[in-house]
Parts: sequence; structure tokens; C-alpha cells
Amino acid sequence: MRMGMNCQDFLTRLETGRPITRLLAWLHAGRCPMCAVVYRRWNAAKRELRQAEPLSAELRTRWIEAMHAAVSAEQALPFWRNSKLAWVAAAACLAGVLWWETLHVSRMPMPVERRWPREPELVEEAPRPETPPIDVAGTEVTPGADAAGDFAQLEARIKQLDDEVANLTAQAERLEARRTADEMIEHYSQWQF
Amino acid sequence: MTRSSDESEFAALVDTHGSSIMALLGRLCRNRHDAEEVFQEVALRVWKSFSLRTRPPLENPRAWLMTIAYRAFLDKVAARRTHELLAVVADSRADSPHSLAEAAERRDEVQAAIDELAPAMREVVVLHYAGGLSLRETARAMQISEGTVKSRLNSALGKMRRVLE
Repeated sequence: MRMGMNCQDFLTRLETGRPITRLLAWLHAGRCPMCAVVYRRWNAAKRELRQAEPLSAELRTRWIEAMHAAVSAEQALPFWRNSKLAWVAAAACLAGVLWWETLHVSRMPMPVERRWPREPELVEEAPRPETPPIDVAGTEVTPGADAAGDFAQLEARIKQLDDEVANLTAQAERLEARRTADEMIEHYSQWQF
Repeated sequence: MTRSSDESEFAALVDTHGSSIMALLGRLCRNRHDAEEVFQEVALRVWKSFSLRTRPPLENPRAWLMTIAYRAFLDKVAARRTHELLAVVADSRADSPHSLAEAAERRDEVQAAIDELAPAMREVVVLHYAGGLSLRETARAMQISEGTVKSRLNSALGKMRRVLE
């Protein structure tokens, strides 16, 4: 008695059919010698597929070492992807800029009126000739320049550098995102069969 | 969750599921060297997900691990840009003791039957039977519908039946 089951469909009905279909397929195997052989061999094959050799000690060690490897990989990230390092780098840049600007300011000639303070009686007796301002490293000194002006200039420069760092970080993040997207797209094509 | 508890959970995963992951990768890669490389990549990915602060508790660790292993395998294949990763390489199982010759023969028959399948069918068979994933979990891992999984599995079973007869 075949119960209307095609032998060619026996295995698929047994494996992916609804519970009642599976039962019918199982009953069919009890009556059809050919499907009985297939059933027996298929069960052996399934057991074989499920079988897993014990994991070697070496592979277990590799698994455990992944914890440390992952930490090292994180440390090896580009600095803009590692928040702590990024902050340290930004602070170092800022300190460098401040130091450079301070050095630059200290080398600048003092304002004219501070170098030659006017004393009323001397001015009266012998007026000094006008001395042109000294040009240091191509910087023309304006007689009216003062510390507040320098500080404002310095502040503007720091802000400009901050913006540049922010732009570069954003650019790097965009590049990284694009690379990740490219990888995903590439992998997606592999999933379509 | 503290780091030490993460570490112990991570170690427990390999003790419980490590051999199954390796068996799955062995079936997928058909090459022990590549399977070991992918296994290491799986370990890195699993640990990386452990380090996420918002990591949800694992409901089905086996399915989760098998999915990660399958994705790592796909990435490996994509990296080489060819399915020739699956090139036949001498299997260490050739050194099986004589007493296990029969089992080895059966194993070879099963592997040969699986090898003859198209990659898409083979992956379904390996994930479902070697990986122990349900049809729904297999569909989720492969990012295809459950119906497609069933259809591929039926085609694979149809072909394997001819080998089993």
C-alpha cells in the first residue's frame, strides 16, 4: 500500500512536510522496500552530519585569545575612531598652537609708546625722531596693537584649527562609512543565489 | 554585565558550542585551514558583540553562533571573490584508524553527496542539519524567506535521494 505517495517525494515529505505528511511518509517507508533503504541511509547521513569532533585545545586557545586580540585591534584603530586618543590628540594640537602663538607674541616688538614712554619735559626739550616699526618675520607691527588684539587673533586661530580638526574627523568618518557600505554591498551580492 | 562575567560566558560558549561551530565551518569550507581561520574570525566577532554595552541576553546561543559563523564564512568567500575557496584539499580524516574505515567511508559518501549540491542548497543543508538550525533560523541566518529555504532543501533532498538509493 503506497497511500498515494510518490517514492520520489518520500524524502522531501518526510523532512519538510507537515506533521501528518511526515507520518504518512514514515508509514510509507515501512511498506516500500526501496524507500526503507533510503530512510535508513538518510538517517545515518543525518547522524553523520550532526556529528562534531571535539574541539582541539589549540582552537579553544585561539578562541580565548580573541579577547586580547580584540583589545589590541581596538588600540590599533585610527585615532579618530578611538575617542580617548582623539581627545588626547586634539588637546596636544591645541597646546601646540597655544605654545606657538605665545612664542610668536613674545618675539613681537613692544608697542612704540611703551618702549619710549613720553615724558613731558623731555619732549619739550628735544623731540625724538619718529622710528619706523620693526618688521619681524614679515609681520608689520601696527603701533596700536596691544595684548587684547593679540589674544583675539590667537583665539580666532584656535577656533579655525578646531574647525579644521572637526572637518577632517567628519571626512574620515564619511570615508569609513563608505568603506563599510561598500563591503556590505559586496557581501550582499554573495547572498543572492 | 562585568568584564569577568563576559569572559567566563565567552569561554563557556566555546566549551558548549565550539565543536559544532567547527563542524559547521568544516562542512561549509571543506578545507580545515580555512575553517580554522573563519573560526578565529567568529571568536573575534562574538567577543566584539560581548563588548557592546547594550547587548541583549542570549536566548538561543547556538543559533546566534551558527549565524555568526555562516556570515563569517560568507565574508571569507567574498574576500576571495570566488567560491573556489571550496577547493578540495587533502582532508586530515584520511588518517582515520582502520577500525573506523566504515564510518569514514560513510562520512565521505555524505560529504560527497553534499559536495555535489549547488552552494545555495549545500548551505541550507549544512545549516539545517550540521548546524542544527530550524528552518526559520536557517532563513533568518541566510536572510531569505522560510519558503525559499524549504524549496532549496527539497531540491537538495531530491538530489541526495539519488545518492542514497
